[in-house]
Amino acid sequence: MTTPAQPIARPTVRVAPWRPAFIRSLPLRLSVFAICFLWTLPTLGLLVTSVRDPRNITTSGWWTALLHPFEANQWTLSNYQTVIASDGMGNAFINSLIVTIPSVAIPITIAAFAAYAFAWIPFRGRGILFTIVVALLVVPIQMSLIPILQIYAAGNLYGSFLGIWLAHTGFGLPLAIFLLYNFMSQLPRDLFESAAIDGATHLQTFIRLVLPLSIPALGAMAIFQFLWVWNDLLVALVFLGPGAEVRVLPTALYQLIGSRGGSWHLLTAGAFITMVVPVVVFLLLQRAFVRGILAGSVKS
Amino acid sequence: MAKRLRATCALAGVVMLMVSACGSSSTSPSAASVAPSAASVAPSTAASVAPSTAASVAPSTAASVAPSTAASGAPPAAAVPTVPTGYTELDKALGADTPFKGKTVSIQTQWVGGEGNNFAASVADFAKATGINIQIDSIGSSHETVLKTRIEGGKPPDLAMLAQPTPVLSYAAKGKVIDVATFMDPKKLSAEHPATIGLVTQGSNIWGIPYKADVKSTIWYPIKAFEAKGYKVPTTWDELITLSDKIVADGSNPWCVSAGGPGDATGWQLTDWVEEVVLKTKGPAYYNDWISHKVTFQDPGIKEALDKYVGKIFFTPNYVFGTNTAIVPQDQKTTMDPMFDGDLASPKCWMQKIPTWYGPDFFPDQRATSQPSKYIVGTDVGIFPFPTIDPAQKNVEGSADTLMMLVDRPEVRAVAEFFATPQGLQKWIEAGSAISTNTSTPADWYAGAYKLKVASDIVNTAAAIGFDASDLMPGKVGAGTFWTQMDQWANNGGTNTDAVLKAIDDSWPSN
Amino acid sequence: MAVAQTESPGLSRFVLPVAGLIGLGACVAGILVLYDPQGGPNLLASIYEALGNTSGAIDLRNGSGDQVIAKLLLAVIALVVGVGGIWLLFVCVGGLVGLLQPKWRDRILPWVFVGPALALLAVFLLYPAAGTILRSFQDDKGLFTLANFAVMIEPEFTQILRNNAIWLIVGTGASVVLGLIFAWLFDRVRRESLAKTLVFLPLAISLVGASVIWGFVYAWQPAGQPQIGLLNAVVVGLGGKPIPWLTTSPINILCEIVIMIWLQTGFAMVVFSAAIKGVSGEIIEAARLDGASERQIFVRVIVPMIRGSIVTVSTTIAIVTLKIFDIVYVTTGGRFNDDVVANRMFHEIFQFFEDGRGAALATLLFIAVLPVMYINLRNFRRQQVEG
Repeated sequence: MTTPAQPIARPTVRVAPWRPAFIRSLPLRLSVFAICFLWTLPTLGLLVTSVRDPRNITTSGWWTALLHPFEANQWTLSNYQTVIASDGMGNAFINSLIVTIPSVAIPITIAAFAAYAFAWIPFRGRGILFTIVVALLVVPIQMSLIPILQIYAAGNLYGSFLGIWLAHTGFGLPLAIFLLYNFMSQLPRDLFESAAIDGATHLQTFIRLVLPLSIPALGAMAIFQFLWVWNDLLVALVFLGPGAEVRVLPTALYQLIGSRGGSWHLLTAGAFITMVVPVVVFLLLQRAFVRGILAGSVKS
Repeated sequence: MAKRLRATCALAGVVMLMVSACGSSSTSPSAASVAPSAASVAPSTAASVAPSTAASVAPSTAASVAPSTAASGAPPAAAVPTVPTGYTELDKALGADTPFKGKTVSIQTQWVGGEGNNFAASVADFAKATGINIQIDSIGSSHETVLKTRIEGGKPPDLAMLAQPTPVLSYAAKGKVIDVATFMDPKKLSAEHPATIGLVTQGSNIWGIPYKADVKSTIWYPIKAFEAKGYKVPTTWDELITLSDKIVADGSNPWCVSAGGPGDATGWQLTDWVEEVVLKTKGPAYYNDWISHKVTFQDPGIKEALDKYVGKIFFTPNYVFGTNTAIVPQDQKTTMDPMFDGDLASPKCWMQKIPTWYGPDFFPDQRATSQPSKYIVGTDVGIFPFPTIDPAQKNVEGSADTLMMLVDRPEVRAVAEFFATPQGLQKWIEAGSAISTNTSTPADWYAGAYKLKVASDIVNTAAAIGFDASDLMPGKVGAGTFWTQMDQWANNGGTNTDAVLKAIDDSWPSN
Repeated sequence: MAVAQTESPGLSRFVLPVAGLIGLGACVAGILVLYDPQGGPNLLASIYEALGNTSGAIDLRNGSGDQVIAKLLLAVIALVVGVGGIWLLFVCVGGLVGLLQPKWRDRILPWVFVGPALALLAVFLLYPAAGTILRSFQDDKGLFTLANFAVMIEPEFTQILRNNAIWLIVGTGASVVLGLIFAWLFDRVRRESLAKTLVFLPLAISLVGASVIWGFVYAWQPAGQPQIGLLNAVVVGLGGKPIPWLTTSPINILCEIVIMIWLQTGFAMVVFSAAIKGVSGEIIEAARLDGASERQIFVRVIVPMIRGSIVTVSTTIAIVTLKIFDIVYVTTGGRFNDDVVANRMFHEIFQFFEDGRGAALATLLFIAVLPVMYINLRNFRRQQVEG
């Protein structure tokens, strides 16, 4: 993807006079390449396995397929066909989107306001409250399920999308507040002082100043929350129930795979299909991470 | 993935049950002969069940066989019980006015994939006949977690299937389970499920309905390769050892042994081995005392089972393919793969002790492709009963799935009652992969299914049937230390028997 | 930024809240639609009726027809109500509070900002956490007992603690350091976006997928069988004997930690990358002109400037490692001397039905996290002072 123009010169293009830039940056390039290779290797195994003939998967290592890539009969897309064509997969995909999008947007909005208050509005009990919020990160989700379900059962929220949006919001808030607080608290104090001198209220400062400056952090947080919700199985099973109407993608995949056989061919294809959406989201949000946003806005 | 596996093993290994289902098959004298043996082994609660069994099984068998026999030859009859069924709500549901039409009954199971399809097929005809919408929540690996959460969170499914009796009793103790004896005839229920009902019976309360059974005393082997080499199926421990030595002398490894692997399910195969040997050396009374910890793990009888018998198989050089160090890391799915070398003509290992739920699902070709295996059970891969050790102890091991009722509505009662009838499992039986706990199940449903015939033969010649001991011990031991310590024992080549047994005893809950 | 003063103080101050109140009314209607289990189909049916499509409306009410559209409608309403409603709430209440005397305004306003978050946290996390702590001091009949904490004196507990300590130190340390180095290295190459995407990929993989992937790395077959595990293929290729990575203690703990590092480094890298982008280019340029090497710039300039992010990421990952569960559960179930607190807790509750002991373990987790919280609180105070 393309990145917007860089306002600041990249260090790599600085040429030391006595050595060509290419040689000078070679160690850097090599190490970056090595890191990427190592990190991608397991995933590559997943990709290769998902397009192999199922019979070969458990009898030879996936890398052997790469040794003679032109034997066409060892490659197949049938694993993907099986997964995509199975009952209810389309419905599950739509359900996943319906569950995920509000479950990302709502907690981040709420967390942004809270993080701003923790960072820039002094009030009594702020430190202790913030510590409690962060401490709640440690609550194991399994411990929350039963009490929340009791509330839902009484309040008629079981099996509804509203219920699962609220649940994901609640579970996602501590990390969102924590990360956004961290980012917002590091904005230069002068900004807020000059805004206050200008007579801006906290609400105006937050909306016109802090939010635009926090786009990288908001983007990062959106990605994490998106991934968590998109790949979640347990919360969906417990609060939405396993019924076909409300089944999400991970639930549908689990039910396809079967309890006994290896079915690694379906597992790998299924895992890859579920990966596509988060990766696209990541690529889109990458724009948020570009250097210069902060500097640029402050100057204007 | 490993989670799925765990659920499988829970289903298969964890529960227990015995098979009485095939009691009326051609080789066996009568279903009634099973009952006394079962009652004598099952935990003490079952004892009271025994007397009634013998009396009432025979008539009901005869009664329900008739219609289905008549139907054979004609297009397959719907798998629906004939009215009167002996159960009130079930009769109502099947009545001409279908009073429960349009009602929904939910049932949560751990069965997904092929098992899920078989289960769905089992209820389809009934749903059609009664108009009840049966919603199957197939959860797979998260079954236990989701079930506990839903039950304690106040949103239970109407019915739930569990592979172990212990959690059924735990939920019952918390008042979450409906006592089926309040609306079903306990005598009929006990009579038809003589071996299994005791597992979920406490006094006059019956907390569940036994549904599907498995026999664990089975060893799988390559039939044609056995014939080619002139190996005979062993019937005694000594013959088994002689055969093993012969295979070693012929340059191969006789045993495929795995402890389960990967993930949470590691270890149950090893506890099965110990349980099998204890049943076949010490008998049911000792076995029951062992379950209740009156006999400790450090008792000489248990130590002997490990050192003299199980250890003999695991640790004799060249017995186990890959040696004893392969037992624990070996993935249970691939354990028997070396047997299929050269299309089963040149096996690298020859025998695996694994229950009757095993089958083509696990054969390497079907596992890889999800297409039906080209290897046929009964022709290519055979099953023989685990050999006798002490001739006086012809006992076998089994397990069972139980249906638990969590919400009391008339239509839920009707569905629960349906699962208590043989027709509740008919389609699955006819698919050749399930054994009913119900002794009134018509024998001809099992016709042609090699595996089920072997299972019924094993059960019918058994003196007593023991339920998987680790499933009846406290969870901390039965699903905890007994498994983990056996793994350590296998890894250490059996050199640490005393330490392992002491560690299990030490972990036994004090209350 | 100077817009605030240009608004006429009288009118707009009132128009905004009033418009907001109308919006809030719409939100309440939206929430009612969301709350009704049949809300989506019914609403769409009403729309169809209004448009004259009666048969479509009847289908919908009967549970057939355009259910997907009804669902999408529901999601749109959720987004509008959820995000829009919260904005309206903040803006309206914030605006109304703004009308108060400064003394009251300053007291109430922060609670408007943190209120919704605190309310949700109280319900979804604090209440269950309190219940758990309470449960850890109760027996099955609800009477007070300390027996549940007997888990602490069992021999395997020391091992569990040791394992969690290894996770905490190795897992957190490696993820944070690697994440930092990756963010710094990638910041300086042209194909940064590609490199970051590749390191980020593991985060996008579901746990099921990850367990398969690492199955292909650690898989073990007896010597002589073809190895389908990458590591053992390498070991055998070099003439060694295949190693059962996941069942051999203590290597198995490290093997599991590697999986977590593989997952969490992407998280650390993304956050650090965002932070590094926030470091003013002028400062870096100044350091460079002073003759500092890239490494010196990294250690002396960048790292100190993103100290807050480092503390944040370390805290987050430390907590992840303290309550690490799924990786252990999926790979070995903690059966090979590699058990950890959260996995044991899960087993106690869902397999052994020992709810009290499970709650006790959760309580111990809370206690274990207190030092981490203390460091954070100190850091928080320091920032307040310096900031």
